[in-house]
Amino acid sequence: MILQQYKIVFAGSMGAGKTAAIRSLSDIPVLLTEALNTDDRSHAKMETTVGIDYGEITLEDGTKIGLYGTPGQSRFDFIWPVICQGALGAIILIDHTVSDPIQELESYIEVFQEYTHNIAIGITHSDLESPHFTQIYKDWLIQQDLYTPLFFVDARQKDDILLLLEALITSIEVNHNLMS
Amino acid sequence: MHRHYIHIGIAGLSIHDADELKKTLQHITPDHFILQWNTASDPHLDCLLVYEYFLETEGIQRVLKNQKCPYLCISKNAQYSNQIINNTLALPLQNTQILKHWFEQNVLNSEITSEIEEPIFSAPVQSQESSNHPYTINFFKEMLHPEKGKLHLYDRHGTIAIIDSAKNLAWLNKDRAETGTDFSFQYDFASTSDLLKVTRRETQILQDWLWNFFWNSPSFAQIAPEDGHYKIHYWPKPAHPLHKKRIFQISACFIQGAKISKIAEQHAISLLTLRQFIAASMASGNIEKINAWESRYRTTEPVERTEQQNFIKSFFGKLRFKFGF
Repeated sequence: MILQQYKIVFAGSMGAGKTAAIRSLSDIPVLLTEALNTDDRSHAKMETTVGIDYGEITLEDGTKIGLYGTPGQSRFDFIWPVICQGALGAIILIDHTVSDPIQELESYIEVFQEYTHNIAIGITHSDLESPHFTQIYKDWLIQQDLYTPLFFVDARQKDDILLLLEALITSIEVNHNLMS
Repeated sequence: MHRHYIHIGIAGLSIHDADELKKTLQHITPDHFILQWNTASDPHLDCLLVYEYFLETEGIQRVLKNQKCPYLCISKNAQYSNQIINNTLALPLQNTQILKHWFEQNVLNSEITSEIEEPIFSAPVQSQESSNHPYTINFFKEMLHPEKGKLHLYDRHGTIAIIDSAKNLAWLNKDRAETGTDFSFQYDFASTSDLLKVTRRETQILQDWLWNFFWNSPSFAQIAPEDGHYKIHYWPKPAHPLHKKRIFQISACFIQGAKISKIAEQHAISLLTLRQFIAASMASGNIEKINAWESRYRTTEPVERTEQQNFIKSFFGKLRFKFGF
């Protein structure tokens, strides 16, 4: 697996739009890379590799930022510290049509807050038939008292993913007094 | 006295020449200005010093086009040393007067006059009638009560939309030309005939659409208080790319609970723009008044940045530059 010094992590369940989101930002074609499970004690019975989407942004001075799309289920938790170590931030994508999107959102937030406080959330597939109203996210945000940006996005639309990225950057800049 | 930060980008100069210019500029700049040195890709430059051979490069031209900041070309033509000809200063520099004059005229003066941004919208005309408006937080809270069912939003131009707060959706009147509204805005329970005036094939997310609709309604800036501590519940999703940066900046502050005047002061944002933001948030049920002690946004007097902070700032500057943020 290619490990860049600068990373942005995309987390979310299968079908939430991680690959599409990475593809919309990446300067290279998105690669499917594999990570080896070295934690034999916790994961002795599971498969030893896990698929990770990898994309790359190259800045004008040649600096590369790795874009990593990782499955978020707990059975893949051995890979999170490796990818999230020193990550600039995480973009969590939640599929609105899953059976309990709030529960899913909570579990991702809980996990990734351990690695970074710089998080932006994208709710995808909000245009599709779902047993839930989109109001649930607003109610949830009010209960949680989170500072995290949360937008309804189409992961295939570059503008929507850029919106998440820009909100994430602005949040970091304001909180670290980096704005002019 | 409030200290002003001047962000100067340097591109293409040797370390020796850059150091010489830095020292000279530090020396000739009044004490209440603090000079900060950046790369050309920094998104908030007040001035750019660029070696003459790089001026026409695509990267520098893009910086100048995007930033619209004053720039000074630097040449090493000793024949014209100490002069500025065609906006080009020739090194070496023995007499600093010519640079001092240029810097005062092009950078320091404009820094003082442009300290506060122009409001995004022009000021609404205040009238006796408009000061007696019904548009309080409670007015919108009632409008957005989930048990209200489907409501018809309209004004003097006709139907705006049908909304359903419980489902967080809006159906818009696609024939409407106006992107905002004024103090003729009203709502009522939606009738069957009202439902015929909107396009139900396309559903909008109410919280996003409503916020943007009132952001585009300059008359409503005056419904927001002039100051006070407020907290928004969620970041609004800006529909207009031009205002995105400002909206995000304000959101990042108010999401923590913040005072209007403090944000204006800290980020040099006009009060009118902030009131427009508050008004749009009131109208979309996205704000509450909080007590001063509940505010978690910490305003800090700018201090000299550490090397690491400067690095991070420059890094994000490059990222912003890459994606045109």
